Amino acid sequence: MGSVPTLDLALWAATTLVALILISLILVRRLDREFPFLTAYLGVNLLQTLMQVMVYQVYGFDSHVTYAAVWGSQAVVVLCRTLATCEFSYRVLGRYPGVWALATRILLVCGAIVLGLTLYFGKDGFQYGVMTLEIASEAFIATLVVGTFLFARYYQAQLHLDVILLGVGLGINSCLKILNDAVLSRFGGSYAGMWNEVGMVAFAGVLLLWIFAMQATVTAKVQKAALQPVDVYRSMAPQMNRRLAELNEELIHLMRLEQPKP
Amino acid sequence: MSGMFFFLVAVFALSLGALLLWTVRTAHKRRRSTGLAVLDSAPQHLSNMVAIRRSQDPADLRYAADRGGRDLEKRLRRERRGVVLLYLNSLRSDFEQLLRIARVVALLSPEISSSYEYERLRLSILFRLRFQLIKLRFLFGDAAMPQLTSLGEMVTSLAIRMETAMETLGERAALAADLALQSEP
Repeated sequence: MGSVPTLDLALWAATTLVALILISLILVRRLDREFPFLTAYLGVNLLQTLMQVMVYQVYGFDSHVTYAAVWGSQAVVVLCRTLATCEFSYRVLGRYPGVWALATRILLVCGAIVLGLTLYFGKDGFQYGVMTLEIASEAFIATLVVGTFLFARYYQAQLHLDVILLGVGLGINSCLKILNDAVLSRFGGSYAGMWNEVGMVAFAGVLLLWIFAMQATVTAKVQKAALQPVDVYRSMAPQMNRRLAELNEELIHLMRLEQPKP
Repeated sequence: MSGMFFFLVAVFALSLGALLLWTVRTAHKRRRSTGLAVLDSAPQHLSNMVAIRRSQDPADLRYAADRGGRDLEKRLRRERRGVVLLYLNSLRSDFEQLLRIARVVALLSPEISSSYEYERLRLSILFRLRFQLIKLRFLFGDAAMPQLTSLGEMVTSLAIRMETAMETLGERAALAADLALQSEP
């Protein structure tokens, strides 16, 4: 571990510490039941850190084994984060079954298109092929997050602070990773040292956001049934129908009577 | 990585980041008026369309020009334009209110049709584009009553679709109530 810059080591330690604080907070407050996939993602992330330390010590930094192990574990981490993103989307829109069903279809199609386009157009231009995969998967995650927020905004769905912070963390993390990877792929070795540091600082910031999110979860209870009771439907439907029918008839009448004269 | 692809990836990431911040900017403060509350302010201005259209009759302007001269005609034309612009804004607020109601209906519905939602989105985009176009034409003095009629038709189209959606919701609610009554011991 002697060849790792001191700054990198300090950032690594700090990021791990913040991740430990976050996962402890989640477990102490029993939020793992509310956010099972986020908890799993953080756990896998910590395991990856542990595994990396061991692999670096045994095989060094330039070994093929190290390369395969680190990027292989990264694939698992990204997969877990994708699941955590789906969990976030469900917390935002899952209370509305109709909108949720529509949103999942549209968001998955959009995400798949972004993923496919990134892989297709990035395949020839990358010096590091694995970066293509990471950029594509981060683009997929960012699309899901932003799409979820767009759906929530369009339908004016109420969002609690914990969910907002969780989503912002996921989205910002992916966008920064895309930019960081793109700069590395473009400028190569001259950015390699900084790439690691930027990534860790960004991730530490995201973890802090999630700590605030988990603290907000305590006071922000997720409302259950968004569907209204039957009597509300019964009173709402005729009111709406009557008002709209009146409006409709008035307009149709107007159009017939007041056609522009030739 | 090629320069062009790097540029596209960077723009994509920055755009998504900006869009993300824009969508959550007021998300926490947002309060949705749910259920019956949203029905209290249904569209109110469309009933004035007959009077508005009649007020744009060019014969009136010719009559004013003949009797009162060019100054009176110009003043009348200017005031009419102001009335129509006010009416246009009212029409837009009616449309927006209808959309708000439609969104609440969609949120409360256990199933929504993608074609219906797409159609509503298309209508709202078209409405906003046409609204701006008509407003510009009125501002520049080109009275565009056919376009105004077209806007009215769009509102009607939306109202018909919402009527169908509400009927479906009402039927489902009634069915759910019947099932609940039947399952009670």
